[in-house]
Amino acid sequence: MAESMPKEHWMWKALELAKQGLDEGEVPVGCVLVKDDKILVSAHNEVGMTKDPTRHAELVALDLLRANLDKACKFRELLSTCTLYVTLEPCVMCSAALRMMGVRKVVYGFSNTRFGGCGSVLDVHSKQFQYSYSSDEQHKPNLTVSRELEVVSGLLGKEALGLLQQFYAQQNPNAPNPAKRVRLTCNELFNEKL
Amino acid sequence: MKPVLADKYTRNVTTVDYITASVADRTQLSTLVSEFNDLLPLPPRFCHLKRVKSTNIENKKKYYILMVPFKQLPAGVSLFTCVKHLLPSLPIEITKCLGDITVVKVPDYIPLTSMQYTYAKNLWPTVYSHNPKIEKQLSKNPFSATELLRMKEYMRSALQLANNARLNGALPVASVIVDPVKKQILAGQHHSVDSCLDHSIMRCIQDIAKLQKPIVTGSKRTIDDSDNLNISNSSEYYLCTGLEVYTTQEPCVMCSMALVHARISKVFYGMANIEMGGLGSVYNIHYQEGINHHFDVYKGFLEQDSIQLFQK
Repeated sequence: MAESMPKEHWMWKALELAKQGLDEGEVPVGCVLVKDDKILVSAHNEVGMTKDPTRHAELVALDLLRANLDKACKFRELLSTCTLYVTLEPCVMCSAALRMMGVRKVVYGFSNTRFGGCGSVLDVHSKQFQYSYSSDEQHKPNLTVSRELEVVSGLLGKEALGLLQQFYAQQNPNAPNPAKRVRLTCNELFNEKL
Repeated sequence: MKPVLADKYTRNVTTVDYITASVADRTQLSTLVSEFNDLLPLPPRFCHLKRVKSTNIENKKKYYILMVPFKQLPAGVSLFTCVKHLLPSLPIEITKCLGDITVVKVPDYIPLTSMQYTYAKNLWPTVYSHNPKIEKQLSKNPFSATELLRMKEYMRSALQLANNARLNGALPVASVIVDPVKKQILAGQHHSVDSCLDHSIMRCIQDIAKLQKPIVTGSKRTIDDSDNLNISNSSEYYLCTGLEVYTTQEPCVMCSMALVHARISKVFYGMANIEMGGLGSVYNIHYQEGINHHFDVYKGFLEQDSIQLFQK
């Protein structure tokens, strides 16, 4: 079915978000969460602005969506039918969050060889977790973590990398004493041939 | 309380067989060593081994020199035949210095702790470089009595919060983030009742972020004006650098990685999280190869108290 095919225009949307992040001084990573050919929520990395290292695009999006729903169980149900388009491979933290929330599928652009949790550093997307979260009504026995996260990689990866290169060509303005930091090229950071 | 360390620091010394020869004439030793290094160099994975071992039995010094790793002999081939094959490659002046040929057990890896070294050096002399940080973690009392008292106080605060969580209908898990220099709790949170991603550690990290004021002032940063940035760090904290976490349960994979992103320095936890734990149970994210920030982890701190909260 057409719905299961990764669609480039969603990734272009995610790239737009990433670019918007770049203009605001953020690490340029963007994502859109798609259900039935409609964007439910979109976000970009907000670590710089918030000083909060957990504000990766994926988590910002999940929290935004969650804030607009009234029940936690509905949230999971909804996510189990969604596909996340994100410009950079989700890190270990975000991959675990996507697994725990039972997101069906993730389509990403460029591989994250420093932090990637969908195969690059760890295999959080496919790991067999013996998860049995069940202490109260809202945390019903959770079977979603037992299902692997479907991963498609390399959609518009070059474009995603291009934005990251623009960012890393300069200093990260959020780091302390930025002048003292050694400049790494994007290639060194991501250890990847262009 | 036990440190969660890589297997290479906690494993027992394993051994491998090596063919050695005894050396009768001591004066020949240095010549022998340099000849051997040319003719029978130690394979790279055995570079931790020293070439010569000396023993001192009843005031009689005896020397042994490493020849080649001993591999499984083909059926019907004796050690004698094996060595005979080896010896023609050595000049005659060398072979006549050699005494008994024997197979000895040598340490398979370079010892990384004093415990491993003590065992390994009795087998065969080996290279060892002392790592004070690891030694401290492995020692019986890595923390002083005063430190421990203070640390228990932090953990009890976390346990108290976890009990509040239980009373509020959330999972009885909580964490505090501490500034060990100021001896001050900076953030304390329990798991939230309604969102499955609002784990105590995520909430604590977010609280620390709120302590930090924006450091980029003036216009928003664009590609072209990076030189004109007006940067001032108005907060004494940068992420969680230098801070410690005390948490009643091993952080899940998501929270463990969030702690990497936050540049935490130490984590102490009570009970293990067998299903999803990222600091010892499912993964060891705190020393995962390829990840650019590592930190110290101790498990089993006031463990019974943290388990009891789940049994109430």
